[in-house]
Amino acid sequence: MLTSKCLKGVMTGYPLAINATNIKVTEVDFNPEFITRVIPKLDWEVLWTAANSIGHGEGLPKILEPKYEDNEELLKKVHRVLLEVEIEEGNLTCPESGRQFPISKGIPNMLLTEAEVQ
Amino acid sequence: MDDTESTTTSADENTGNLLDNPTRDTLAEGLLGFLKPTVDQLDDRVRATRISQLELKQQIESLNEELQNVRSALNDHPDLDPYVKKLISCKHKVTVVLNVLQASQDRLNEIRRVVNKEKRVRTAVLPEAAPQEPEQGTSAEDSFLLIDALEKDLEYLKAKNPVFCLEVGSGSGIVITALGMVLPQCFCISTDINRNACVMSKDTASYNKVVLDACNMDLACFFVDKMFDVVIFNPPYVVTESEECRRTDITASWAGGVKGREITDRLLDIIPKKLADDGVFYLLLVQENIPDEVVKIMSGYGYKCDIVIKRKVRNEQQLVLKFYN
Repeated sequence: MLTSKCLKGVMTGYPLAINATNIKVTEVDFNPEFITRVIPKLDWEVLWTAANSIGHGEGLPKILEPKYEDNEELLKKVHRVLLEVEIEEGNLTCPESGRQFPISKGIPNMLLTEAEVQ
Repeated sequence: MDDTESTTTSADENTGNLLDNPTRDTLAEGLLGFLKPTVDQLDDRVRATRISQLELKQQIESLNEELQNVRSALNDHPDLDPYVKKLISCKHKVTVVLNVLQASQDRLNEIRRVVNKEKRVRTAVLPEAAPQEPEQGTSAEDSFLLIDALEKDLEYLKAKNPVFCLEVGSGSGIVITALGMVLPQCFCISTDINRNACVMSKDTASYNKVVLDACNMDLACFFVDKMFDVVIFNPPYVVTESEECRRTDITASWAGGVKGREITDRLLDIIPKKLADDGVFYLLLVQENIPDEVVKIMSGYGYKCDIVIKRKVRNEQQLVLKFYN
């Protein structure tokens, strides 16, 4: 899920909308320091929207409060949605062009056709 | 001999006529006395002739013997036969050896022809600096050089404490996995234009308990800007025809087009956009890629450059450059 927040469309299309048909949850060691450092690198509102779109937004505040680094419960929830929730099957849609990028076995296919590259 | 006989006959006739006349005895005696020396002489001659005849006979016999020897020597020459046989068998052997040699020569020529053909095909596909087995064999060696470079720079990387690390064209995924293992506090992402490589990278990472997201994409085109603290690239660096480096199959893992740099140069152009301002970019090159030109391009974007590590692998000078602000 984290990577999907780092992807954009062909031009500037961001964020890509997620449509998940199969979600896999795997346990990953919780590292609060890492999550604390990731959060400022992400657009919180985008993350919140994406988490809710795949049904894993429960417990995440719409607006990020300051001093979140001390809120372990919040960090754990962010950890879960970013690292443990993985979209196995589905697709990402570019808000700009409507172009869909399929995700299969957890790997998004972002290859363009030759016509698209032109 | 004829002389002796005729003389004897006339003497007998004379002797016959003289038997009845006593005066004739004296005459006969006189005649005998007169003839005797001649008869004795004849006798001696006859004896001598007989002896010489005997000698002649002996000579003839010995000659005959000699002739017989010559004849037997001429008739059967048993001594030569085994030699002739030996020579013939020798000739056979030489022929056989010659045939074997000829066959060997033919085989050698055939092998040489195949080798040359193979070589021609290889040089057509992979010019001089090309690794022998671009698919897996040598790619491991450059991967190891990259891993060694990261290890050498580990203190620097730990101090940087990166959040997002990206390996472009991760292939088997061993480099990004190795980085993920020594920097457990970072999030690893890999890309590859080949989907199988993405699958493999993910497998390698999960086998080593490293969290890695793999994306099937060209270079790093779809990532948001200024996102990565560390970018690693082991490019397809083999000098090839331009057409060859536009494929997405296994060829993409080694075919680098002109100067072996067509893919690298495309990434160089987007590095300033994708790399965080204090980010670092590790790039593996070979001498044929003209590293000095790469340094110049990157310094044009304001990056400093260090050579982290150099190594000669099968006549191929490989090096890892590090670009940072």
